[in-house]
Amino acid sequence: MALTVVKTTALSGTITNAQLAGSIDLTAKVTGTLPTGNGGTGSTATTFVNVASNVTGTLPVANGGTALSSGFINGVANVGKINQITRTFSMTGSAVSTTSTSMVDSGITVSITPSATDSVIMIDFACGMSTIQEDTAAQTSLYRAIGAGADTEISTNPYDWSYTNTAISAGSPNYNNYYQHFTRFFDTTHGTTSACAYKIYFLSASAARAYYLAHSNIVYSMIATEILA
Amino acid sequence: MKHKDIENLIEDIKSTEVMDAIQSIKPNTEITIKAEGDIIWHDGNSTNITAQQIADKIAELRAEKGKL
Repeated sequence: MALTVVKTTALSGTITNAQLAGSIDLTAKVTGTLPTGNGGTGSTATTFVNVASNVTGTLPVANGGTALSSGFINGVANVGKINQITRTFSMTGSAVSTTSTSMVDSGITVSITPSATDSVIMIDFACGMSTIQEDTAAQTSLYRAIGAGADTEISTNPYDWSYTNTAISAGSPNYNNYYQHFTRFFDTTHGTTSACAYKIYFLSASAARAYYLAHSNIVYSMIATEILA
Repeated sequence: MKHKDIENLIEDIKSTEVMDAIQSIKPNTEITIKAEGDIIWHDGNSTNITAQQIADKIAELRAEKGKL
């Protein structure tokens, strides 16, 4: 009959894998924290992965990440965020009109101070009713003054600012061409954090004919919206 | 000159009356009535047209229209 030796005192020295007859009960025989260097989480927390401390590097786009180490879209946290809005609004003033045949300031203006040089300033101009006398063309344009600088036309491209009126019916009675306008312009070139004044300029093609950009007690408004890049 | 100066001389001015009156007094003169009510004379108002003259002309034009 073979003898089985059972050592009842603590083992000392090294136990080799070959000497392990069975398996180790991980539930009962393992305590402490398995370090990340040994394939563990380095944490006793029961959460599967602690994203605050156990995840490093950048999650690729293909894996649902942004491929960025910080920020949001395009690396800018507030891209597309509307940062501020200012408005000029009137419905009780006198008529705004001109017979000038060169561009002049209408006095309709809205001011905004950009918070960033690369933001976009969206300008909306709404006019309840404008009128052109017979056989007369008229035009408006958008100007900008930065700080105490001069007024500079910024809507030189008609596709950016389609606000050119041309009388359409010869020999018609005065004030027969009525328009309601909503025009929008995106200023991407201000490049400043100084105050910007946006101004509506206008002209009439004939000194004998008046262009009414707005009439008495009819609403017009001008809105400047800063959108972060 | 301000739009208000004329409003103080004649009541219930309609949108086009001031411009019509000035054009009637001095045809082809280039002016602008700005949003804040300033009347800008692009020729410097070389004939010194007054607010009273404009108010009188508005009254005259109203009377003529009344006869039609």
